[in-house]
Amino acid sequence: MALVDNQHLTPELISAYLGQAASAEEHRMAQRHLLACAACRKDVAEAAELTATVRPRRWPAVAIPAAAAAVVVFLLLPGQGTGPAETPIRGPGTEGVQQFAAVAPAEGAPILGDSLVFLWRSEGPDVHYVLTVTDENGDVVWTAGTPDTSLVPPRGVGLQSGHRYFWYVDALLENARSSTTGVREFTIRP
Amino acid sequence: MVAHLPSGLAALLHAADDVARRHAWAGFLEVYSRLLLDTARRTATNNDEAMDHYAFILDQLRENDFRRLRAFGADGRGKFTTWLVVVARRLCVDHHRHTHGRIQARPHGGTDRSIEQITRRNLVDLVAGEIDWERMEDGRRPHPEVEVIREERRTALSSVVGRLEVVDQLLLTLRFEDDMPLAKIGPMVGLGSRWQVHRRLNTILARLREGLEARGITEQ
Repeated sequence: MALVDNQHLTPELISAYLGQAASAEEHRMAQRHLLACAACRKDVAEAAELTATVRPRRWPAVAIPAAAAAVVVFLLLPGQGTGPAETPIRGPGTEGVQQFAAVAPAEGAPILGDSLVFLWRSEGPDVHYVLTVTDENGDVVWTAGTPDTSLVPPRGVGLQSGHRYFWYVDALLENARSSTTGVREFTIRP
Repeated sequence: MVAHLPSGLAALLHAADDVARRHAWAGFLEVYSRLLLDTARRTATNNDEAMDHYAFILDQLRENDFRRLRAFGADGRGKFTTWLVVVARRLCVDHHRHTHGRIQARPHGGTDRSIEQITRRNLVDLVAGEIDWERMEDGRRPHPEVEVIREERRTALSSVVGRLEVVDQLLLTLRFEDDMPLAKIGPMVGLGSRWQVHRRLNTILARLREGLEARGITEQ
């Protein structure tokens, strides 16, 4: 394995170094490099701090093997299998994650593109919200951050009439906690 | 190595078809978006720039069928989140450099080199004792004798520091060049708590003093 990439420690080696999974030689080599490279010291410090303070959410639905996941999604697709047709490509569940209320657009509602406003309940003062809108393929079509509890998509986002979209808001709270609205959907009315 | 991957990441990298891949990607975002957002925010100067960085990270991670994510899959050691932060952080720095040009050295105007010299001088003062610089300096220009003493101590200190173990040299660098708090230094040198770092630091400084005394440099 290459230990240095573009004259810096590789992310793989930094991960192994901080996780104490590097070999003794790799460990020594990493420390020698860190001694001379301020950029890598910064990378390592940030990685150590962020991974200690920001806990990733649990993997829920996608924790099942890929093939099984594909079957589940297949069954949930409208007109296929016998599963509930109203929830085709939904984000994974939010078990164990604090949730707050999304207000508008209403779940599954057909909306005129020009009148689309995303609205959610406040999670308190000094909270930063991040809204993410994806298409049916799971591609992020728009994401934006705000300290407010509403956002209007700019015209350039290009949401297409007759298409279904998914959206969710993450609230980034103090002390690195977070909560989410969970994934919701809407359709742009033709 | 696949066995060490987070199960959701394995699902993403080994998705059998587009539908499974999209589903796994949505799951990936659900799990790691906060970590990626925090990384983006730390490399940005305002919210708009942070969101710009965040979008760039996502684009780059998805590029060429998750080429970057597969790099971790090929190695699979350490924590995935650590690896992800480093990759995301470097993407942000590259993006910032591409958008705004090279990042300025330091916000308060000093160059890396001058700050390094200042902090090294602090270390010299710390281990070799304080000198009444004001008494010895004549106006703005240091007294020649002061310069000689400083240089003598710098040379001696460099020699003594150079004989320390690499990990101890790294600890000194983090503390006196990067001005890093003890709590942040611990994980970087394999010490569990700030108290362990504090004790280790005291041991190193005592050793440096001994080394300097052996060369005839004392606090007097």
